[in-house]
Amino acid sequence: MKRLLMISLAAGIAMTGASAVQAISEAEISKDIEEFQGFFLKRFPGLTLDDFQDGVNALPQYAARRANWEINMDFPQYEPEMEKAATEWSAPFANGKSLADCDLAPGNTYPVFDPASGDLRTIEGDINACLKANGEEIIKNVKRGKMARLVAHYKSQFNGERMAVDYSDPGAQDWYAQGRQIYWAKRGQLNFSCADCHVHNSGNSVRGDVLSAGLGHGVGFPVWRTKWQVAGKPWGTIHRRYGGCTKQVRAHPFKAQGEEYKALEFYESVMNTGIPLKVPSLRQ
Amino acid sequence: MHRLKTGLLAFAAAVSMILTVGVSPVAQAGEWPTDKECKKVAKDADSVIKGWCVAVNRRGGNCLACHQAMVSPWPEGFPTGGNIAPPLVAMKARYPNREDLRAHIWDPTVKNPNTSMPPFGKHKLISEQDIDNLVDWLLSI
Repeated sequence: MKRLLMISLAAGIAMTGASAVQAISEAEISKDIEEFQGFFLKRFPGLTLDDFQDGVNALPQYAARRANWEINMDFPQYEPEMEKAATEWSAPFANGKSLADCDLAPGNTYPVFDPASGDLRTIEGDINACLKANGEEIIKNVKRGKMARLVAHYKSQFNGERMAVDYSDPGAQDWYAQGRQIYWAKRGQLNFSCADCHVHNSGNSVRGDVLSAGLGHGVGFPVWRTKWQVAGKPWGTIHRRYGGCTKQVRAHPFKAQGEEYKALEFYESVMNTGIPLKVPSLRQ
Repeated sequence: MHRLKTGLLAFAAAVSMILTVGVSPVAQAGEWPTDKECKKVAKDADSVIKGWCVAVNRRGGNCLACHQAMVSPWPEGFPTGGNIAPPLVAMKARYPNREDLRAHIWDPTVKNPNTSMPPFGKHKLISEQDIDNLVDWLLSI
């Protein structure tokens, strides 16, 4: 806890100081993972690391609503959409190839740092890069709909595989540092950091809602979400969710697939090291 | 004659009940409006009632998102507060100086930079008048 506080303080100082974020070594990141996971395992005794793959549904504070979620997960509403995605995945391009021929990393290793370009590869970015390389039109909306469905299809093939994002390259560590800063820095009119709600107050109630634990965030994404379904667009990627969260603290959301959310996704994915993938999922 | 007198009394009682309960839906003494009923609260209503309305309005202070507060009687079917922050009880004992409470709502980061409580005045989340009303309500519970 003390260290978590120190990280948040450091993030605060970094915010007010120069824009460059201090480099973080591989050993420090490993220690961060241990402390982050340790914090949640201590806060929610009785839960194993694997349990956190279910997001808020894993928490004892949410137990009353879990049964309903489980029933829905037996025959999830997204099933026809998953069949559609499987067809789309193998549908031939004009050159005869298909998305199945794309050179993608295993679903449990995203985001992947590319040392050649210094960029961080997300699965959404890789799908569009593959479409482009094959002379196909890219998918413009990277937050919902077809893209989310395709990512759900691809990642679901790695369900059960434990999250294993590589952070050994110094370039990757820079991305990590940026993501960690975004996670712990206060933002918006409400002055909340991600950690204010999802670390310090995880499992607590905001009126009738339970705040999810930061550990496990993203392991079930893309998700089919009731709130989004009401608006007619039930599928959403993790960057869509980040955007909603940023708006809720009354800040301007960053761009989906932009640098900030890619860095944040990297930080959260590294924190999830060892949690088995479970894609897609239903969320409220 | 006696029977007529009782009948008249009962009638008068019924009329007065309709007048007091039926006509004005909110802000009766000892009654706390829900956030929906708050929209109907008169502009010249008591500052304590207006302060409560700031506290329960999601677009206002939304205090109950994080704090429990005890008012009696609790509006029927109205959701209780969250458990992120300490319950709002014995405020007068905790804040003998009104200005301390007001300053804490205006910018709680002065006392604790890591607090989860938003700086309601500093970030203009609610008006200065809202804060005054809120303090009036808080010191009444």
